[in-house]
Amino acid sequence: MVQKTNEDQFQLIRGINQNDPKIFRAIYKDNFRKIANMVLNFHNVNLDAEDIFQDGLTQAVINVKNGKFKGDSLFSTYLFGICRNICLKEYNKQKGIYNIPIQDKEEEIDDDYFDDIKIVLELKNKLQAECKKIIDLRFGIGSLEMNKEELRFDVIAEKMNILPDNARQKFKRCMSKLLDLVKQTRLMKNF
Amino acid sequence: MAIQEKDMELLERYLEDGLNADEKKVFEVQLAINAELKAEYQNRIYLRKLWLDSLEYEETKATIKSAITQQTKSSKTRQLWIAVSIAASIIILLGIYFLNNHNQSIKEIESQKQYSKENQGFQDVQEDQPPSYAAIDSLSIVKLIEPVDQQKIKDDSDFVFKWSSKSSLLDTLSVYETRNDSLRLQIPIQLSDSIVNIPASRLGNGNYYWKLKTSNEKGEFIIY
Repeated sequence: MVQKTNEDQFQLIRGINQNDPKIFRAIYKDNFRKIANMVLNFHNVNLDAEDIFQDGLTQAVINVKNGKFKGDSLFSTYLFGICRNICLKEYNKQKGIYNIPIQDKEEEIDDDYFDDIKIVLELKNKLQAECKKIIDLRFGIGSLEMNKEELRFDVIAEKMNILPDNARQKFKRCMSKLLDLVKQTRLMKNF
Repeated sequence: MAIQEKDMELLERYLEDGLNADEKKVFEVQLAINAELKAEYQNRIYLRKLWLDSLEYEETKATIKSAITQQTKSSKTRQLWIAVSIAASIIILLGIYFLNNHNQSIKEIESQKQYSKENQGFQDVQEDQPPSYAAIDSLSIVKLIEPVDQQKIKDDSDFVFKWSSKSSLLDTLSVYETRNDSLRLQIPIQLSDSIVNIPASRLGNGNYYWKLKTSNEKGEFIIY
């Protein structure tokens, strides 16, 4: 499904919002080769075209869903821009170059936030399972009111079958570990 | 102002809405005047947002990867099936071609044998040569030249079998006793040779006839 008209773009956006796998396959079919060729142009760095495409498309899809993609350009152009920026950042990282701003002129691609998300994903893997679990619970993952409010420690205690004070202390220790890990990374600008 | 441990505890209680009205007012004043506490509060909020959004990131990426992997697997499976189908078709076509050729050869041999039986009354002789060699050229003219027509041959000399043929295929020369059609001699020959010598003592005195597999003729001779 190559984008030719506004109707195509509309169908595409609708499919993305519905998490339609056929739309994702169509996007892959129409765009992967061009992006893979772009990745090949980065010499002397270790870049995987499939990973970059998947990361780029993930970011593009999330931005479509949260309204950040305004539709000023074709989705394929937007996706290409995101993937190119990922390549540029990775290239700079492997060459030891940091803090060079990369901006797309056509449509603003705010991908610094996604860099922080990827860092948190990496840090999650470094935490012990129990820490990950209590942070998940405290932040509201797995509760009915996720994203609305933090889970209270007495509720957490009940779920983990421990005393509320123990839950509080455990969370404090785990958050301290997490913050130490965060501060060791050099790319999370807000910390 | 440095952040105290109790400030962090208050922060957590503030986040879960666990402070009463007065405590909440006091804490919010602290947030406004204590830059470090404010930074810690903002980091805490940001970290929670990142933590939750990373879950959405993981799930979205997994959905995309699953869809793409399915496409890639389907494409590769499809390509493999196409290749296997083409290879199988070629093998089947080759098989049909060779089978057809083989059946054609057998039909020609059977036809030749049937003709021989009906016209000459010969006994079937077990032969060593593969039938296909002679059968392919079964239509070539082979003429027996010598010995024919009750030619007499002395038993103390060699004698020759002569024939004429344009073919260079393999054949079998067979010699039979006339009185009982028993096979006495079989010699593999090449038709293009046209001649083969044997000593008369190989056979002994008697009436004989000889023939070639690819010919309907028989040459009669007497050794004395």
